Amino acid sequence: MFVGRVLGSRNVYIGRVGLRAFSSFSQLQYPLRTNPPVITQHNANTAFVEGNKDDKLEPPCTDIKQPPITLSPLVSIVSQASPTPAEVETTYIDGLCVASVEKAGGMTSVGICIGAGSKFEAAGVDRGANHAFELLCMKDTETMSSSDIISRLDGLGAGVAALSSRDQFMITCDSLRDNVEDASAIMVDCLLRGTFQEDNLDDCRQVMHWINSEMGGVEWVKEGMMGAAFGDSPLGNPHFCPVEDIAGINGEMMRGWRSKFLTRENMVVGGAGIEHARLVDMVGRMLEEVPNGELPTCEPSVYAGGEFRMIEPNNMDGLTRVAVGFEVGSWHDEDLVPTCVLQTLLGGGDSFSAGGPGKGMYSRLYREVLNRCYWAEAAEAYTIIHNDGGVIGIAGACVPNKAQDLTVVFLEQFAKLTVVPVSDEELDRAKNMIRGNILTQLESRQVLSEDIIRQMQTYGSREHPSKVCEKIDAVTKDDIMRIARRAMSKPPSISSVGPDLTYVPKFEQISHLRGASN
Amino acid sequence: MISNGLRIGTRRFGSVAAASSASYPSYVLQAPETSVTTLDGGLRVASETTSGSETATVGVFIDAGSRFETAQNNGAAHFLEHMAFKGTSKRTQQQLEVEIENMGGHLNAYTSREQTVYYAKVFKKDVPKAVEILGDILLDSKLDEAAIDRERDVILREMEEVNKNQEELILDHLHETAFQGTGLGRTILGPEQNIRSLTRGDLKNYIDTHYRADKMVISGAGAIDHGELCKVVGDVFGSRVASGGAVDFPMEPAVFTGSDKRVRFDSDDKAHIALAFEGASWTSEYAFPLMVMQTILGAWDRTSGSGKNIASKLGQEVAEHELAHSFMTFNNCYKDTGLFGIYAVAPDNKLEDLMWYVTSNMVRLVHKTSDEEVARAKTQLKANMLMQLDGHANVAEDIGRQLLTYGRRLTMAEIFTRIDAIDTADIKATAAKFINDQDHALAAIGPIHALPDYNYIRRRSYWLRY
Repeated sequence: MFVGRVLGSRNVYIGRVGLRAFSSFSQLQYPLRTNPPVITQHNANTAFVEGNKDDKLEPPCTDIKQPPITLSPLVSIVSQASPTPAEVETTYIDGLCVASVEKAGGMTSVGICIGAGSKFEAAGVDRGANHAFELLCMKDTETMSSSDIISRLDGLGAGVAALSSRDQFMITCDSLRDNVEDASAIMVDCLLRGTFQEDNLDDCRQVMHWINSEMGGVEWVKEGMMGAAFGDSPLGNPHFCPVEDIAGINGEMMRGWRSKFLTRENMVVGGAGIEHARLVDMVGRMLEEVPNGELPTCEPSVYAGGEFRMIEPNNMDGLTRVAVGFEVGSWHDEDLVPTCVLQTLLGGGDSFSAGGPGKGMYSRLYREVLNRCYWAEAAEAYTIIHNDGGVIGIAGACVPNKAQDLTVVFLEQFAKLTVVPVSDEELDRAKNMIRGNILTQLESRQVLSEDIIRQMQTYGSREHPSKVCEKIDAVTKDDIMRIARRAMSKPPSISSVGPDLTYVPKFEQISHLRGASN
Repeated sequence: MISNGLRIGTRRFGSVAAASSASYPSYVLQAPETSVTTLDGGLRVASETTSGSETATVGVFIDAGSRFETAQNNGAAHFLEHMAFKGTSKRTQQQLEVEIENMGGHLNAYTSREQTVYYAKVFKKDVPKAVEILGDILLDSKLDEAAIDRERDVILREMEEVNKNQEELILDHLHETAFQGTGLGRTILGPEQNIRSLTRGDLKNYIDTHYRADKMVISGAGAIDHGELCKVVGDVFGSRVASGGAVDFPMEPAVFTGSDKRVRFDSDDKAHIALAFEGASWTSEYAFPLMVMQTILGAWDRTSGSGKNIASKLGQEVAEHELAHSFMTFNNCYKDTGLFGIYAVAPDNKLEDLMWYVTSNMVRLVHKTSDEEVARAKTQLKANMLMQLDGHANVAEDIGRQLLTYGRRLTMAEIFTRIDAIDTADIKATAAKFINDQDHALAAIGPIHALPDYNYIRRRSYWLRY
């Protein structure tokens, strides 16, 4: 039905169709609501619009200088095969590590990783400092206002992003290759010379309140898991600044953060898509003022096991989210690779999720939990690994009155791993999947850059992906069972968030659970 | 239309291109080549090789999507996408799934309004196998009646999930009202009634009409050898895919209707609003200027680092007056039209101010665009376009989409040349054409009792004075 205007002609309107009110209400169409909407539809109205236009400003002509896109190319270029991949190069400038790899393309990723995180924070002293620095590091500096920073970056075709975690702080800069010096200079300025004006701090506190109120159950469960698993030791510190500590964020704390963590030894600068010499030269100049210093220290983190419960009365979908967790080794643990294979082998996801084969449809948690328990809305294995400890576990969701069943099923999955060896087929599948994921992700310049930087910060060296693949190949069934047994030798941790946690088992009810002993 | 464009191209643009391309750095001019081969029957194979790559993406891009459906079979393209994974005469559903998972690959598909895409991400050595599997599921899908019946509930469940995403829901409503009565106004999933009633015959018919050699592009990127890819594609698809007939499937033209659709839920806590003007097609001379305009208007989020300091004037004003939780500018292109507009999530008591500032900032571009913001947006747009090509999955997607929309792959040099050629006068002209005194389409969901009516917003699509 083509009433109305023909494309290209102007100011032909369809007459008013009128307001139509609908009363039918499909929960399929509008899920998450209980009451029907009032729906109105209205088409443009000729009479009104044509009335008032005598005085309108004359618009400029609508012709432009550019031709449409046709089959014939506008410019001819010299095409060439992509160059052979380069190796990662490393240089130390007076204790400061610089590592990079050249990669063809018009964009460059540069980043700085700092050995700082919420595990170094202390209640009442600098709680929330890392999260606050992440939010504040793009604000006014000694040389630029906040708006200068943003508009200059935009004008350079660059983007800077910061991310804090429990033990690493990362700031990255992606820019057009030609502008990498100018863009990185802004990133460095943000990192070293923020002035933390009172209005910047106000904005930051407001955003922190907003994040606290908007954070979903999935994020809270993970945040709570670390507190439950590591208790009062450093890795158990909250990462997102708790509401009661937000008022305490101040400029002094931010300057203290800088002088404590920004030392040459505690930083790694890296990049992908840049000549190494160019990066070294740039870093030498820009970070010259960063002093040498001791690495920051904190108490060792000790896995304790425990629980976290948060009642969330107004959550949208009415589901309770539960995660169980067990201890695994740190980044430095020799079982790191088999632990990651175990996570892939358990796999899982949402009971309804996008994506075809390859997302782990034949992983353990799909076959034995999601496909069997109609009430399990989600079940997914996760690992949270840091420099001095880690957790492996399963996180999921269900209607509140099935929370106990869900928890038991998760614990059973781990218990089973300690007694029944995994099959050859599922181990091979998990190995292939993790290898495919690693290699595919490292095709991305941003991921590659971050991988180099984080590995240099963590290990002081970078392992070539082919080495990682060899380690994956070497994983055996016995490795998997050994890790599961070690994990279950300490009490499990449990973290839950939802509208009703009555059916979530208490820590005391599950703390006695152990797998088969060695 | 093509010849017309060519003529304009050589007459008005040739010198611009020659002058500016010489100044580009080598990484722009010497980009890796996109090899394109057309096989007998019209099937095109296009690929870009990344040397040293261990993995690859290979996809089948089909010039078909929900807009080519009718009211009766709306949802068929998407239904077929589901059925492709449910087994062929060679593989059962489970065999297919296990095969992909065991080889550490990924197989996925999506349907949009104009395109249907199936793709696989695999190890280098598995590329031929991936092509074989893609061919198998596309050309030899069993379409088992019982499986079709089982899939109805899955799709209805997917509908619920899609509609939980307010952004998706509102863009569906926006298309429904803006392109009412035409194919482009229909949803991708189709109405519930069709999902419950589509038959095997409908799906088979859809394959016969649309899955044809001349409407398909096989696209590859990463660890791909173009010659080998062509050979494998020839073996797998060559004799099995119907070649393009003389009669092309007629496309129902899109007709934009100024209109709005409002779905009021007073108990929701946030209002979702999409306001759009009719935009330009993929190949329009206005396509790139609109992208620059999109970048000028920008996007903003309350939690983003930029806060009130965003370069976009609209962003500054939204942040300053706390008008919204977030907004983004969108610029959707189709074969013969487009939608250019702003999607915002806002509290209910700010909606009138929000609409005032949004329209004022859009119309501002007609009269008061500054050289500085155009220059900044141009550089930003170049960076965004390069950024999107990070990794072979994105490159393969880019190749496939461009071959379907432009008929060729634009080189980075051409993209840069087109962006560089745009000046402030072009942006004003583009805004004058698409925004000034034009009817708009609007969709809104949530507590929208204070959202101004159609005429309030329509009146603000032009200015009487500065």
